[in-house]
Amino acid sequence: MSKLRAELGEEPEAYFVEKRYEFIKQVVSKVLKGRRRLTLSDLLDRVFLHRGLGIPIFLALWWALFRFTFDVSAPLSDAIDMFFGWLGDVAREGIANPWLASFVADGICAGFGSVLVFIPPIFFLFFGLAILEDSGYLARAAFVMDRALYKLGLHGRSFIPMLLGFGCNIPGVMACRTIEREEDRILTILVNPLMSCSARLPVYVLIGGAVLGAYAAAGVYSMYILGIVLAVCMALLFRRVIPYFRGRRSMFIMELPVYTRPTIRGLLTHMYERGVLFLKKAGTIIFSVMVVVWFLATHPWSATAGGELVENSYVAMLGKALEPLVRPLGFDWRAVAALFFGFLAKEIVVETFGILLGVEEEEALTSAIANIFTPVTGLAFMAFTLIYIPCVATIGVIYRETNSVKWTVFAVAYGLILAYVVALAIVGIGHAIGYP
Amino acid sequence: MVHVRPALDPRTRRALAIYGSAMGLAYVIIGLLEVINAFHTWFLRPGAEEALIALPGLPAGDLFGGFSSLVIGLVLLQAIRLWRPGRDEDTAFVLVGSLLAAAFGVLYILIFIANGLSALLAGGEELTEWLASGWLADVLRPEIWLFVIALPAAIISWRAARAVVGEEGVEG
Repeated sequence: MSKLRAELGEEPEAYFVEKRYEFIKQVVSKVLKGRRRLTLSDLLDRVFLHRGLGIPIFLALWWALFRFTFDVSAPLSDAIDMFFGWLGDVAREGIANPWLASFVADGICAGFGSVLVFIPPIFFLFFGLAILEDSGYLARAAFVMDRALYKLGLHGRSFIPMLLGFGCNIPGVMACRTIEREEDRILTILVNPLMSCSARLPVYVLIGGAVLGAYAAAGVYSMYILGIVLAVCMALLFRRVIPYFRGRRSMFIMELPVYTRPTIRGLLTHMYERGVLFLKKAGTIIFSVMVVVWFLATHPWSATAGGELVENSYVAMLGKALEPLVRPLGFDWRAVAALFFGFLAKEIVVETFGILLGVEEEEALTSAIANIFTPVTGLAFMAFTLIYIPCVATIGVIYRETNSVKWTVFAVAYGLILAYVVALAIVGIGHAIGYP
Repeated sequence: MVHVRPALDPRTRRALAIYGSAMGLAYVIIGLLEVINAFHTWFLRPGAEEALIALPGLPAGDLFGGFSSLVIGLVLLQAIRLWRPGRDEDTAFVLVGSLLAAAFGVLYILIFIANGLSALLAGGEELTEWLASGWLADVLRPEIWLFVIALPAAIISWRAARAVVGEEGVEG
């Protein structure tokens, strides 16, 4: 097989599929009379499926999507931020009981405010994705990526679960059911959490905005690219190193839909259906964890002087106990505490910073974050958040879909190790090229 | 392979070839300048305030934006194929290139508006700074004016594409 691969210069399966289609084309041109009318889809596919330009066009469109998500939604986020800042001030001034005032202002307003400011970018992201999907382009993106994915050790059908992973890893992992061969399916499930879900976006936006300044959007985009690169690298590594994943991969066949003009109604429906999941999560899991984090950050009440001295709180004790582990990465106890709670849901990283730093408004939070990270350690923190561990709900789905404790534990363990290695590499390289 | 009879008259075909490839060249040059600037700011002199190539509106550190402009340029440059007869379907390169140019042009206009609104909401020093110089840097972004210049290409190539595919060739 390897001799055949060397002889053909590519995977034998891919070679034979191409030859088969070439033969079909020759036969069709000889036996069919007349000409099939050229369609607009045929014309557009000449460019979007171009061998050399297909992938660069995909990357350029992906970049446009992130600028749209990050920059265009900014004024709406600013308005939400100002509203919650004002609400917190009203609560603090209007409630006489200091414990209750702290709970409402620092717990509810600061917590909700720091999460809800990310509604605009998340809705904008889903709106942009809906444009690409409804127009028929996303299917082409899967097609152009198939060859690259196949060479890199993934199944061509992995692309759709991976794309879904950009919205949320749970449907991404569940979509792996469409991959027939068990080994290919489990491999795709294992690397799916490396696709940067929308829950991580608030963390990137906050940290990137705080430490990368004008390059914040580039930093966010880099995280998405890093996730893709790591997913293919890990797939390649697992296929080479773990005997279970070796063997013949099944083929990828898909029918491309015609290009259509997306309708505003369709785009808004898609955006709402996906974005509302974030809102529900914010109202349930995030709210519950937020109350726990507020409690841990303000108690013992007397030792923290009514929540003023976070350094004496339970969460500080936890963070300081874990701090030596992440000190080589340039993270302090607040960063490790935020990562600890982020295991429950990644958005909670942002909210935990809000509570630990005792600030409500995004601008104040951004300034406070800029004091605990440098551009290099901030970027390392973003990468760590991307990789370190899937959220608890995703871990549950990984267990359900693999039906294996072994693979579930493996997904968690390799994520932690990889996150540490990548963050350490970012810090090392950053310092080596002259960044502080 | 789909074969078609020539649907474009030679003048339109050649006009598209020249227009498309000239636009492509402009995008490649702008893309290269942006990539060089970004490479300098990101890797050679990290944190440098001044851009290596200081032109009005040319960003100092937009590596991916530069890459995107390069991609648009490379797509549009393929229009040169239309110079030869019998390659009408290559109109697609002008069409897709100008669609990408439009997408990025509109994107940068939206960013200009969003930056203005953010400055307005923040008020004070941020608003003064944006009114003094920020708005000009936003509006002079080369991809905005290249998009304006590429608009006729989009219209001509759209008409040409419809001629190539026939009236019922448009889905949707």
